[in-house]
Amino acid sequence: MNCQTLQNRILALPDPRQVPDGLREHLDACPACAAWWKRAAQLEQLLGLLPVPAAPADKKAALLDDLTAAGPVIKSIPSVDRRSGRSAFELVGALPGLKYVAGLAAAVLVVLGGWLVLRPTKQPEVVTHTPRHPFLEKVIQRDLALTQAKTPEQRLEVLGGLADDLSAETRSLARVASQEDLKDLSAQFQKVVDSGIVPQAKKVADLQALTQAQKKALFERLSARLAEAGQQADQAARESPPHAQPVLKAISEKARDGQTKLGALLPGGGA
Amino acid sequence: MSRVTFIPAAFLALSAWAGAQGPPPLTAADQLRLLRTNRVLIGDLVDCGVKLGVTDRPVDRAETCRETARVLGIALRGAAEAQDADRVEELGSHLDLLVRDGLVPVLDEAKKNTPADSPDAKRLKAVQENAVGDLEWARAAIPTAGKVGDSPKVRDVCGRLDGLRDRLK
Repeated sequence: MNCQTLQNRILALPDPRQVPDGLREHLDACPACAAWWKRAAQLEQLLGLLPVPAAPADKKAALLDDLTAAGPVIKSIPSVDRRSGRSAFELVGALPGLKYVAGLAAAVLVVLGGWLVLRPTKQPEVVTHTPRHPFLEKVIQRDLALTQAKTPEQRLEVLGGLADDLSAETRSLARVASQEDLKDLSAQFQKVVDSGIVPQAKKVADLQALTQAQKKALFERLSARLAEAGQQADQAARESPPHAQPVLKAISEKARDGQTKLGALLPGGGA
Repeated sequence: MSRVTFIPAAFLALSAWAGAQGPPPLTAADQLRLLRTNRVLIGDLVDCGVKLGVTDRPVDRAETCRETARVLGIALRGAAEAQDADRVEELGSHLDLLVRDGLVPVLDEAKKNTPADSPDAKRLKAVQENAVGDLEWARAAIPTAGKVGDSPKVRDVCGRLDGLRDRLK
């Protein structure tokens, strides 16, 4: 008899304190089982002191039989009412290939959700595009042409073009620009005529390299350009808001003044 | 069959036409805004133009042309400080054009026609040195990184301006 068998038999006794002789031999020879038996006897004695009604003599045996009986501890499973038919998951699982699609959709949702949570919260930059200024480009082109012009008469022609540009820009902005903006443009037109065209025309008039006919043709071309600028400014003045009219009339008057001065430079004053 | 060929052909023709239209015209409001932005610059450029129109001596023309480039350089620095990449590109292109096709040929022509030991030759040398200085001064204001410096158009302009500096030296 080994120790485990002895202890099981002692536990099966109605009173562990009353050990039969067959078991006593082992207890005498085995100090470990003897110590265990003493604790079991003490426990039995203490249990007997508890104020509880005494159990029937066969109760302990019945309980031990139940605990040591083979089979599952849980003998019945509570049932849950189920609806008739198949669940949505069962239906998805049953359709061929659909569960892969559902899995892919779930993965996309997970990735999308992660992106929404983790994406940078920085506000997008507002990109403002500054367009090029065509009028600035025209003025630059005129300056470049003036740099490249080899002769005084070529420079005079380019100055005429610069005056045209300034007059046209003033007219195109007459309806929307303030009087101050328009006055700036008008002052520049007047400067080109007074400080550019007229002085340069005087130099050209004295040039020996050009014939009188060439000079006449040049001045007439220039005079016609000024006349056209003046007429267009007059017409624009009639169609423009009141604040723009004096500015446009100033351009018109300066154009006529330039024409007169060019005409005076020709022999006979007939430009 | 004819429909099959006609529809792609019409589509291609329309695409080509749309691509050839270029940028849309500016509105009057845009025109006015740009005029106000460039008011001082345009005034200075018109002044330079008038001066160029009445100046005949090569050394004086070179000096006036250098002044014109300097005016553009000042505006370019302002655009760079304002972090306006589009404007830096626009003004840088104008400066490149004016120096490359204007100032450099005028200086070359003036040098050819000016005796080496004359007072005009000294003036021309000063004009050339000042032009290089002006160009470097304007170029230095353009940042090498960030919104302006990282713009491919601005980088292209910077490359052209660096090339011009070498041509002017």
